[in-house]
Parts: sequence; structure tokens; C-alpha cells
Amino acid sequence: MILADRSVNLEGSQEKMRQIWKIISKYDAYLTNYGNLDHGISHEVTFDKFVCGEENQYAHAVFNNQNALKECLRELKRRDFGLSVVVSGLFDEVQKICEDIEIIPHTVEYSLGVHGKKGMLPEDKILEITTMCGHHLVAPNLVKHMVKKIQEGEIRSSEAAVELSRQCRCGIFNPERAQIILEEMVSEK
Amino acid sequence: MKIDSSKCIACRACHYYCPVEAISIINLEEGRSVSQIDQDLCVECGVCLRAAVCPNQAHYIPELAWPRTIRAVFSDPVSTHPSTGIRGRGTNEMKTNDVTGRYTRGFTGVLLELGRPGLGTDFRDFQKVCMGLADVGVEFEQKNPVVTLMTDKKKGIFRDDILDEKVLSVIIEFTVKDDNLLEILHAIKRLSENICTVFSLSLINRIGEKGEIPLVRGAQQAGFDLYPNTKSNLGLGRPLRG
Repeated sequence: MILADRSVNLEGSQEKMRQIWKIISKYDAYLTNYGNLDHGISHEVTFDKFVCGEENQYAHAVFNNQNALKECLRELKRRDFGLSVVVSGLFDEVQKICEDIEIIPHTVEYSLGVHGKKGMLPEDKILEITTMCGHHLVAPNLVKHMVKKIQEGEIRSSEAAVELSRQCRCGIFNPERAQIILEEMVSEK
Repeated sequence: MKIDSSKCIACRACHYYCPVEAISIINLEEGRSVSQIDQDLCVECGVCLRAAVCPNQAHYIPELAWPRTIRAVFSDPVSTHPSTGIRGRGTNEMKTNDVTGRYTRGFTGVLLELGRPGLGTDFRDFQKVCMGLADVGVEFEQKNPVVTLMTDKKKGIFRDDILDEKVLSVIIEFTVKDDNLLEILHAIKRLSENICTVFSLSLINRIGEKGEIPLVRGAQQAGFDLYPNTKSNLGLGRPLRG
């Protein structure tokens, strides 16, 4: 995720965001999703929307290849836009990438899991999919419905994953990973 | 969100999309069945409308009046928070810490997101959590938009008229001295036993000069598991010059 802060460095950030989207677009072959709430998500719009867009509050891009991510970060560092960059992933892997391109991470956020009435939650595999959307827009019932449709041959697992991903409006959902989990759920039934 | 019963053919296509299972079939007096959205359960997230699976486009957003507008503000990420001008739940948290300096060494940031993942919450339960945190001396992050709804920011008390409003999730943010982290985490554990929903808990550290992350030890001492998936701000941001 790449973004400016409204109270600190928003001025002049829009042209930078457009240039950043141009850089991200070069890695299209290694992205499973991208987007933002201003213009939409990869399943519905192309990079032009972001590169030419008047307003981009942020950029989200989901990489399926660590080397591609590393090269993208290397270029962002070299271009020195001055906007914040946040990488979500296994801490050790992110650290290794940062070491390789001589970046020292500034701040880290750890999850300490879920607490409270956990008995009310759906099964783990459903949660693995629904929690990819940080805004909780992917319904557990939709996951179950997609599993059923795959089992009945109405839809391919890749199409089901995209339908789930389409409900997440910020482009952070990983449909490739969702497809793998859907196929595991189908084979378990 | 509502469904126009004159257009609905009860195909149930939209039912699966609702994150809080608010859509069900009802029988009208004339003997016809239609889908209806339970207005108490509905959090105004907009998913069923955006899914666009209704063959007759029967979903519509009626004009929302206060306090129901709260639901959309905190549940629909496409909404812009009036207090921050940002879409989503309206706070950058650690994402821009390299330019804001919100979280500094010697302190740990705490994010508690009630209702996550996916169960939602009402403000009554959220108030319970906020009051419990205030009791142990927590001072809430003032830039968090939910704090604008408090009538007593020191005690974590919200205005009465929103307590029954339901949302997909709501976040409270605060910072504690590293020395006090253990006490706060124990208090959070106690609070988790008295709510009707779930919450996700995250901790934030400005990384030390030698790579130290104090929250790791604090969390482990308090008996919490740390998940290996993290968010890392890479420190590439900087304030504007001049």
C-alpha cells in the first residue's frame, strides 16, 4: 500500500500517485489484484483509470512473486516520492526483502488474533477467505455458496475466487489464494 | 438498504452476499413471497446493492436519517468519514507513521477492532469495551473518528442515541508506555469475556535502532500469540520540505 498523509504530505501527492501507478502497472504479470476505493479494482478497471485518475487516496497491489515485489520496491525507493509504503506479509520475508534493497523498516504492526465470542465465528477455512477483505465485505455465506457451485460444476474455482474478490472494493483481496482455499474446501466435502 | 417488493421475485440471489445475514424471505398478504432486509440487522454496508445480482435491480438506499447514518459511515468503506475526509473507517494508523510520528519508541500502539472478523457489533458493546479501557487509564487517539461520538472521552461514554446502532466493525486506537503494556493486555483479556461479539487486536511499534520490537515480549508475557503476518511501514515517507 502506498499513500500520503492528509495532514503532512498530501500537497503534490496526486501526480506522484499517478507515477506510482505507472510503476506498479509494469508488474501486472505478477499481480493478483490491485485497486483503490477511488477508482475500483483490477477485475473491473484497467491501470489507465489510476494512472490518469484525478484522485488516488492510495494504491493497493497484491504480488504473487517476491522478486517482482522486491524490484518494485527498489524502484519506489530510487524514485524517492516521499510517500509512505506499507508491505503486508510474513515478517521474516519482508525483512529479507528490505535487507536485499537496503531499506530499514520504520514501524511494524502485529496481529494478536481474535478474542471474545469466537464460537460465533464461521469455520477456519471460510475465515481465511473472508478476512482477506479488511472491511469484511465478503460474506461467509457467499463463500459457502461458491463452494457448492464449484462442486455442482456450475462455476470454475477461479471464477468463484474472482466473484468473492469483487466484493472487496479496495483491491487488497488475493483471488489466487482464495482459489486454492476453495479447492481445498471442495476436496474436503 | 431496502428491497422494493414490487420488483422482487424472491430469487434469493442477493441473500448470499449479505455479510450479516440480514436478507430473508417473507410472505406478503397477497400470497407472494419476496426478499426483505431486516432493518435492525442491516449495517448499511452497501454490498448487496454493489453486488448487482438482482435481475430487477430491486435494492435501493432510502434517505438515511441520524442515527442510522452511523451504520453506513462505519460499515461502507466507499463512504467518506466527515471528520477525516478519508474513505474506509477513517484512520491511517501506522501506515503513515514515518511522516506523522504518531507511534514513537518507548510506546506501543494498540488497535482494537470490535466486530472483526465479520460478526459486527453495536455501539453498546463498543462502549463497554471503551469504558473498560478508560478504567485502566487508557487515553484514546483523538484523531480516530469514533472518538467524535463520545460525550465523555475520558470515560469512553458515547451519546445515547447511537448505542443500538450496528456496524460491521469499529476501531479504537490508543498508545501506552511499553512498561504498561502488560497491564493493558491483561485488562483487554478480561474485557473479551464480557462482550457479545469478537474483536481483533493489533499492536504497533516504532522499530528500535537495533531492530528491537518491544511489543513481542510484552504480548508473549501476557499470554497472547503473535501472528507471523505483519504490516511493515518501510520508512520511505517524509514530510514536505519548507
